[in-house]
Amino acid sequence: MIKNVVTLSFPVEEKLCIRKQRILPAGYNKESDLSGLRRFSVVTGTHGDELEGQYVCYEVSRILQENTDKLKGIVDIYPALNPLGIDSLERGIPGFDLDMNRIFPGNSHGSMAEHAAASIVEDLSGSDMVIDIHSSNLYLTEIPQARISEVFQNELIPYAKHLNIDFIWVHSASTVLEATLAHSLNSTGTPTIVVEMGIGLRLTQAYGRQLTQGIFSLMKYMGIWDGEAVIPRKPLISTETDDVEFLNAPVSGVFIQHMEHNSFVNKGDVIGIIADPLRGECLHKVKAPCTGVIFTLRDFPMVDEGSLIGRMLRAEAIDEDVLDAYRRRGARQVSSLDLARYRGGEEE
Amino acid sequence: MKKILLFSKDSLYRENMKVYGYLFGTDTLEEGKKTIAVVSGMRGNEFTQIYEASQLVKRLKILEEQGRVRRDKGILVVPAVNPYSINSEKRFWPSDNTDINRMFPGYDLGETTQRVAASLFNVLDGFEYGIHLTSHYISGNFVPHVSIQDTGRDYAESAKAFGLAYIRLRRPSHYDTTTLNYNWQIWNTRAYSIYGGDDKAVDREVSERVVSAILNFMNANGMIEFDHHRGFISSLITEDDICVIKSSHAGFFDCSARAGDYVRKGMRLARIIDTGSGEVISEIKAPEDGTILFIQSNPLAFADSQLMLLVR
Repeated sequence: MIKNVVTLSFPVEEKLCIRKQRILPAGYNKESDLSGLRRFSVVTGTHGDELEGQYVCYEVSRILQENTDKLKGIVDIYPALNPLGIDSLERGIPGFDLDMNRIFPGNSHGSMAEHAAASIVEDLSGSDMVIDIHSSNLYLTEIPQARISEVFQNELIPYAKHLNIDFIWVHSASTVLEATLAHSLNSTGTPTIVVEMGIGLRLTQAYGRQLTQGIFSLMKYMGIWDGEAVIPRKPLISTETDDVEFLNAPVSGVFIQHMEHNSFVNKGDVIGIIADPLRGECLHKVKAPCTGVIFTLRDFPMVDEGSLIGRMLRAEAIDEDVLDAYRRRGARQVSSLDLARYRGGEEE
Repeated sequence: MKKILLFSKDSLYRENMKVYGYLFGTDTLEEGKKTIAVVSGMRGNEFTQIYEASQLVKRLKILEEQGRVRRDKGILVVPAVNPYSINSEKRFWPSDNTDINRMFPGYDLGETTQRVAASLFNVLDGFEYGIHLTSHYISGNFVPHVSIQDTGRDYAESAKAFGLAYIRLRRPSHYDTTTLNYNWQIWNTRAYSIYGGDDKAVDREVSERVVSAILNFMNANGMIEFDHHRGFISSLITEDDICVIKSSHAGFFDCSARAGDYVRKGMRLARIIDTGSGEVISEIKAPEDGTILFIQSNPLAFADSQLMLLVR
């Protein structure tokens, strides 16, 4: 059953429609009394360049519609909170300066975007769980991970552990992030977990399948799904700011990746190089600042001074059994760069 | 006048981005001489604002040659914080579309625009007064006015020295906490943002008024001698004094009102014209008596969206 959450007129023969698919258990229809049922919502597409959630929405919707006899609650799927952005390959809303995920809880007296944001929050409020799926941006690849503000960690971590993700990152609170959809919902009593995975403008099907399984695992834990579900994998968990190391480019150039994403590396291992094609020089060797796991890695090759190249979770923050599994897989190289042959780029 | 390189940033294939300041009244930016900084061009399409800063440099140079700039008061004007975006005709940072004015106070080990913000804030921190010539997130035409964050309410009266029509006190939204204005006043600079004119082209008339307003302010605070017309007796307004005018219909936005017009309740301000049939499908009337503060420049109206602001 497809419903319009927001309908606003455009100037020429079109309306902005933000829609959701509502799936009900077998035996229920739109006339039924739904008051006793729990509600689970999956949202994505706030940023028009983040498409990984499209696969998940499709799979969750398809599987549920084939198995409504095993569904015990309401599932609402919102695949496109920013239809214009998705249509035009734009992260934001075309013609609007602000990031859509910085205008929540919205304002029914503001611009079209702020008006839409207010309607979205109103519609999602009251869900027993909201999963808000993001996919990094055009530049960086992320392993499937939940991002949780420290303010809400006690409520959300027990649920996030069922999502079959690789990493739970509890980050510190910031005033700017209070304008996100997740914060607006969490602070008004609707539990919301942000999932980041993959990369912008692409589908990483393996991650999509992993999170889809995780959503069914979490729905089972919450008593909304009665069918089969995987036993969720044990995630890395970081709750301290010092657990995570940021790698920023010290110079502008072309980043050539050497280590694979989601690798375990030792301090000093070369993750990649920053090169100057005009001069044929290696400008910098990007070395691991600590021993641990690369959970974010740059995929887009051009870097400015300061561009984020990756993020690492320090080994000290990782449980021994999880760390062992990473150690056994070892550092995986994607290139055959013979690093010994590259001159330059050494730190003083 | 001394033109100084404030900071630069390297690039693989472009020339280094160089951000210059024009210094008056003193030769160095040492502590105790940081009196006022005027900053513009943080976004690549803030043409009127960049023009205003350039005209301010020109006027200050003449005043300095005439001996009318105090020697112990440092005046810094930075017309173009973001040459890379201006030169590539982008509003935001060319490679990642981030807004420098959402990155303050900056972080010198962070991402590119955080580093630009940090380099700039390193220069701007410690000034007694700070003026940011800036533009709104909705493209349009503003009556020139001074905007101050609500958190700077204690110095709002001082903005009357500009002699602009309005001093607008704004409650900071979450996203405002990373602007230059907000961070300046957190670090004890009296910060003023000046909005005005249309952002599609250089508005010379508005620029002239804004430059005079800044010179008025500098004169009133003992930085320069400038005896010119003093402008308006400013009204202090808050969000409660501002009425948002929207349209319930979408179509061509045929606006007959102009920013600055005084209108009476019920007066027709604009018509919404159907984009197919050409028929007038709605008229927008003034909801009460007041002055138009802002009109959007988009020729199209979207339904339920802000088109104008009216000061009651």
